[in-house]
Amino acid sequence: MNPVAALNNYLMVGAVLFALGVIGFLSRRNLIIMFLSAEMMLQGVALNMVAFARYRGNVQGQAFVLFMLTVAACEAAIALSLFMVLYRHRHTLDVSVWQELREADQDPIVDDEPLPPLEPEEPLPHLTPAGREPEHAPS
Amino acid sequence: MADYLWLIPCLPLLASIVIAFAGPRWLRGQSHWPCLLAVAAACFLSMLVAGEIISQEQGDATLKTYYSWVQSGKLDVGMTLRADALSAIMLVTVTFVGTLIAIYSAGYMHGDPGYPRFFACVALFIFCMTGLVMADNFVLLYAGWEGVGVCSYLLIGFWFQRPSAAAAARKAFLVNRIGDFGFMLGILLLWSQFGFRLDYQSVFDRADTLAGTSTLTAICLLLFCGAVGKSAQFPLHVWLADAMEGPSPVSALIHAATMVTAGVYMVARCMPLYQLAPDALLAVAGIGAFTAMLAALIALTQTDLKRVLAYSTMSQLGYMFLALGSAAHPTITYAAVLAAIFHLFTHAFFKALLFLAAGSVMHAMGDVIDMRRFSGLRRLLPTTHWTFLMGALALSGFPLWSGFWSKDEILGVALEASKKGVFPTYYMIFFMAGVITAALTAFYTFRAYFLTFWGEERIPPEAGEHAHESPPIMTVPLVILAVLAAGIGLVAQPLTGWFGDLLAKTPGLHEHPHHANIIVMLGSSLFAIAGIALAYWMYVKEPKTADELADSVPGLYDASRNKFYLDEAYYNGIVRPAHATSVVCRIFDLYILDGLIDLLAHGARWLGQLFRPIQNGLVQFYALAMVLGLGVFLISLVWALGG
Amino acid sequence: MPNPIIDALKNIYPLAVPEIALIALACLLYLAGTWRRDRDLWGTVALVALASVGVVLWYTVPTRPPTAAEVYAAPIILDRLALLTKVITLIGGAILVIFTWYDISDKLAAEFYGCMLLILAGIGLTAMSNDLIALFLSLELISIPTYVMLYIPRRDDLGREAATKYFLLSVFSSGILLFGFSYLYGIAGSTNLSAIMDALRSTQGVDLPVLVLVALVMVVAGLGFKITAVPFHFYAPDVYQGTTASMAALLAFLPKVAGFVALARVLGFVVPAGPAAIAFGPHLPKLLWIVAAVTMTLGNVLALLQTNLKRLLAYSSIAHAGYMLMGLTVAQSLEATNSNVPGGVEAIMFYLVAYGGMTIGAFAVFSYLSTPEREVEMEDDLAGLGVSHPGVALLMTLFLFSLIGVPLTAGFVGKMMLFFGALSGKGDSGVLFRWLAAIMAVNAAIGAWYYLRIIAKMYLHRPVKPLPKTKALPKLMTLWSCALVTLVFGIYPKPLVDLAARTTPRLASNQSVAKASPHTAINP
Repeated sequence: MNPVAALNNYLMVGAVLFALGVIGFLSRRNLIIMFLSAEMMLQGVALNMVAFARYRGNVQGQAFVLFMLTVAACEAAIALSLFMVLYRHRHTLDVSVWQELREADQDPIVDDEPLPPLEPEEPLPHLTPAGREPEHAPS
Repeated sequence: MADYLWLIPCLPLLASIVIAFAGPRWLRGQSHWPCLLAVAAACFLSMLVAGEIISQEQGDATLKTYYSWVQSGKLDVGMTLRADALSAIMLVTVTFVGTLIAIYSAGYMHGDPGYPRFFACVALFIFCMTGLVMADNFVLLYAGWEGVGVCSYLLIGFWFQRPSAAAAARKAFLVNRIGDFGFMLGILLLWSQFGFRLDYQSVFDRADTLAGTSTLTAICLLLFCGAVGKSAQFPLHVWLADAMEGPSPVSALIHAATMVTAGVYMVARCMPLYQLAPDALLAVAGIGAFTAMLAALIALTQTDLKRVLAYSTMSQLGYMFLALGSAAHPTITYAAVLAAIFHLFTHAFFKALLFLAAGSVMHAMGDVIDMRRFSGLRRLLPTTHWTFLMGALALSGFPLWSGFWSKDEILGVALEASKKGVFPTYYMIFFMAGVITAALTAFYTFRAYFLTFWGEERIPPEAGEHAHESPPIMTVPLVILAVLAAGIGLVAQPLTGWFGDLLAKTPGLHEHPHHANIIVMLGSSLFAIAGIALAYWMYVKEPKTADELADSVPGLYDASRNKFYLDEAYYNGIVRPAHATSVVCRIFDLYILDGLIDLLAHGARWLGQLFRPIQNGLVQFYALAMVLGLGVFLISLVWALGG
Repeated sequence: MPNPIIDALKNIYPLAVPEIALIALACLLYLAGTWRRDRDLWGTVALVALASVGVVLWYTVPTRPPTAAEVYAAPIILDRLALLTKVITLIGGAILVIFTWYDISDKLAAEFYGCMLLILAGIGLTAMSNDLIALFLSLELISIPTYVMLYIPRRDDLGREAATKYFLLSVFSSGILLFGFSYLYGIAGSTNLSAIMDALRSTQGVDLPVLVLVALVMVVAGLGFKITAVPFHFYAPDVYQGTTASMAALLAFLPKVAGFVALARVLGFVVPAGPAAIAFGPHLPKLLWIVAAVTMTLGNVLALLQTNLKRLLAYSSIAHAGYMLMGLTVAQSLEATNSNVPGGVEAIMFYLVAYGGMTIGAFAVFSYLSTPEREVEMEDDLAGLGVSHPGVALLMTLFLFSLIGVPLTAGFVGKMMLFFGALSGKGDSGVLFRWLAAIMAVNAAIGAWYYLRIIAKMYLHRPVKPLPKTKALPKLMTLWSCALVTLVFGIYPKPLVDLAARTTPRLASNQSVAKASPHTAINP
């Protein structure tokens, strides 16, 4: 296969990954999944970079990818800590609860079909501290 | 002279800053002092400047560049002040009238909660106005131009609690914006056509290269656009009458004596350009003559004393433009500029006087200014009465009073232009309009005078029990101005001729001998006296005739009364048809001139409303809009590449 | 054997000493903040750090123009544009440090100022970037601390929402930017900006033109987020409204500086190898034309509808970004015709300073008047300010005048430079540029409307509820320094205009270096 055709294939996949990321970002409402979609956009870019690096025969593209991944890791750290805080205050990861800031005369967007109610969370198991005898049910 | 030139604008600025900071808290009732002292000092310095210029053999402009404001590539704007004969005359007029009005205001505004604010604005206005007339380039001129506009806005809306005052301030500001827009376009065109220079000397030196071209005509017309707005000429005249909502001293200072004459000054200053564009001059003269006549006709029937004076101001400004517009032929250029500036000079005194006297009437009548509600005040307010009479005689062009001399010069120039100019017929018509207006002026001035001061004594209840003459702090400026209004015209030109000598020292203006036209003089005096006599007969001798006359020609009377339905015409002519297309009907809900602005404002609002729903608070919508925008850019660019 | 490329790479470290110092200090703050919780201490440290970095900056100014090897191999290069940007950011940063003084708790002060130093370092590096990788990293060095800083000072639901929105959209836009970068790299085969411009010029219209366009649009979109260009501006009103006035001021100023300088670099207006804006061909001005026109128009018409002050200023900041984009639009044409009219990048540099002065000043007014019990948020809160706080009202009027563009304010000079630049654009698109100037004039009129509305509120209305008297010295200092900037550069703009003029390639042409082939320089 000639190099241009091969490059084109990679670029195509890169673009598709990027587009999937964009679509995911636009269509999903879970904060974490939105962030992951943004990460998927970066993967598309990374694929482009690596393909171009191979095609051009230099390593700058690969270096770029390494830096990109590092930055992405930083962003992931921030994202997770931020989302934790958000979850703690609203008990949901739905991004659409965060629409308080908007133009003054616009009504909030409310779902036509609300999501099914969340199942009550199972209480986390309490492990008995070590060294104490567990309470037994009266037999 | 160059050493102290900067003090003239800077002293009032300093005063303004001092009052703004110290006024509300410490100066309070004494806030007039900084303003008064600074303006008086500026007046003294201006007179020194004028004196030095008179004593010069050759009239050169004194230029003083303080620093180069912007100097980048082809854009070179220096902070340069200019003193030549024309600026000196304007400076003396502005600062002298300003001083008297500042004194008067100390009495008139006494006890007003906004006392410091008033004097801060007045001082700021004097700063802007002196800056405007001392500017040596068009950028500085424009800066001063906008500055006086802002001060005018602030002072018209001084009593902003009244909705009418706030509305009037807004109207004045918006209408002026329309004119200023043209003015700015004119300056830009000038800049691009004259080798990217903006100082007067370079521009005027190169004017010859464009002589007679349509570009030059366009430049002149665009600049005139600004003058039309600022000097309240048809069709942008609608703001001036409403501007009377401001305090009377403001009407006297800004809307009669000084700011509104900025347009006249600008055209006179740019005469080297206008001279080469006869078409533009014809437009100047035409608009001037038309406004003079229109405003005089409207003034015939107004019942608000200050409005009569406001329309007479428009009318007199129209005269000045008529004179300037007659300058096309090189032999009469000097006479034309002289006539316009001389009339500006005398007008400043007698119109300021009339407004101050009207203010004094208002003061005594408990802020009532409707002439139907009081009469026969001449015994109650003797000083006001006499001074008003002096001003009225000057305004009507009564022989030997100051307005007589300057108005005759204007009519003489217009007649001259009809003999020598390029468009003789037109100038003949303008001349006739000018003569008729002279008679109308005399009539409406004395109508106001007789209605106010003659007849049986009636005082509106608002005045209370003790309607009395104003305190000396107000009457002394009135008396000074009355003396000047009566005598300055005679002294300055026919007797000593110093005014003409001084003006002739303006660089670029070449003195050309001219003679007063005796026939015009006699004729216009006759008209003036006839007008006064008619007013006397109609309003004092046979007070019923006025009403009968009004009843006999109801159409004309109402037309004048309602300002020739111009406001309504704007409404019916343009707004009503628009109603048919129901989309626009909501936008044009007021007068068309306001409507035009509203169109911009509403259009912008409507556009904003259109895009508002995207900003609905959901992150995904924002991202979607970003992606869509990206897509549009991509597709259009790729498409442009293929196509 | 001495290798010029190795030397070039070694030589970059001295250039970055100020940024390295800032980052080191930031780390120090993060660490030391765990021991001492003292707002005054850490604020002072940050100020001292900025001052000393300013001194250091003085000594890093290179004495010679960069060599060919440096131009084509070094990731960072200190030219006049970078230098001016650093000076602007250091001064702006110091003002912002003072501004934020009382807005953060003792507990978080060290982190906050650490982040601030990182952002300033990021802008310095952005301005010096000569390489896509360096540019990307520096831009992220601005974004990531910003996420943290948005969260720190205001910790209620609105603050959280603002931080979330900014974070998500910023990540999204940096993905777009990177996509553009990847294509740029692919087309040129190098991440070096000078090499990319050379390659673009040689392949213009022959090889992969569509990819060039995609890259162009993506890059403009990605950086458009930073400068709040429409349609990438949506976060701005919400985020400004949701965060404190001081953070809004920071967001309105610092990312814009970085974004415009980055655009000037990536689009080839100012690259060390000499002017290269031709690289993107005639499509670049057209694209920028549309973005500029839409940005200023939409910003202004939406600002007209606002009653929330911070939101209004957000839209006004969008409109001003549109004005500045005008400078980029005409830069190419001005450069090509070698005209002497101010405009292009130098006008943008001037405008950034003017804009910083007036916008930070306006936000500082809100912040100064606010108390914990009562925040100044709506237009009505300013009613009667002229009576109750005459001094502050006067300063606010000054800032608003500057935003309108009244003469003798810095805003006027900046607008004039941009306007004249657009007016004297030559060539085929000269008419287009003149239209853009006309659009700007109309927009300035719309803008004047809502700024004047605030002035009228302050002076012509009675207070709805009187504002308490406050005496916060840092805020007052911020106000005065912003007023100083606005007035001084309005009355005497010449020094800054000259400085800005020297950043653009045509007047700095003595800095241009002999062209060398990118491949010989990079591939040994």
